[in-house]
Amino acid sequence: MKHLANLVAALLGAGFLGAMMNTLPDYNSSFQPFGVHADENGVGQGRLFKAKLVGLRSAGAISYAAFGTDVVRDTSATFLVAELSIGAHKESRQIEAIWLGATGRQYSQTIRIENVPHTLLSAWFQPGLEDTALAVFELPDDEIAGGTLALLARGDPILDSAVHFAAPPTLPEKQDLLRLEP
Amino acid sequence: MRHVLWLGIALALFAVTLVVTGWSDFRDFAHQREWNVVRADAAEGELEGLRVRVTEAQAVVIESRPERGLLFVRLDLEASSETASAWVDCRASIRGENGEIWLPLYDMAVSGVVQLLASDNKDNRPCNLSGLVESGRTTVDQLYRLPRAALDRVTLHISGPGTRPSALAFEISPNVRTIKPEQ
Repeated sequence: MKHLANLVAALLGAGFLGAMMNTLPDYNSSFQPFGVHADENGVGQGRLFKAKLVGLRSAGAISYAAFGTDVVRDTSATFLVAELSIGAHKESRQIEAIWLGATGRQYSQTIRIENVPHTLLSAWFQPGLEDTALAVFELPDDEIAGGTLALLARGDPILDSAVHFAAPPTLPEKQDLLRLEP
Repeated sequence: MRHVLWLGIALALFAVTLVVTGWSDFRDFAHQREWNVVRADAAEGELEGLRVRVTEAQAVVIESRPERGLLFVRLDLEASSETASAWVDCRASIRGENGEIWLPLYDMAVSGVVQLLASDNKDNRPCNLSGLVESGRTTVDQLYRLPRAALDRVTLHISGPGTRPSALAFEISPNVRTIKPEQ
């Protein structure tokens, strides 16, 4: 009887160990930033920054001035431009933007729009100051409707927060050409 | 009694595991933070062999944006190449009264603004120790963007990965000017 009890205890232990091993989350999913949702006014409070989604615009082409020269970038997809107002809480920060597409794919900002002032690619945000910035994405059309914008502090986001903005109720009308002004 | 002994051994091993695995994380954490602050009495101070002198501190507020200002700080650094190697790198940050940390600006417009604010209209680039390796002396320029309300009294911290959590601190009261955008 005693041997049977030991065998049952060993089997239960092995079962629990196996269950734990099979349900153990991987490193990335354990330490990815936790989501914080923006309120109904579009204002999100992250651990390191505060951000407001001011508006979204979309276009088939974008123009801007870089070093005194006009540059035009077009795309077979759609440029989605998010206008943001961001302030750092305690320390100067750079902010990263990700578009979480309707199909579940994640899109980083396009790097084809270079040297435009006030894009998140180069902007720094300072404690006590709120500054406006643009996040520019290049997205397939079917990723925009139902997609959401997420912002997180650039660098090491382990155990940090990512601010998620709700999907816009109405999509921005797609312009042929959008001019980005400094 | 035997069970208590095993329990004690397990707890002791758990504590040892925590210390061994946590030590490298604690060292990484300490290299990011500055909690051992050495305050300089005047505009000159020394930390771990590196002599730092604050030679200029100028602030400007643009009349059309009165809530924010730009702070320019020039430093003279003096040390041997061995000291520069031990410091590894240099971080010059501005601290506010409520613990805010402002880091220097690095964008394309910085050089022009530094040239406008510096007494000799030169930009010596932000804090780096490469000049010390060559000649033992170097001058570095930093530009910060911060709220106007914080400009009157700020603290400058100088540290490197080789010194942190130790940092050298200077109380700074910059001369604040208000200028018009077209100036």
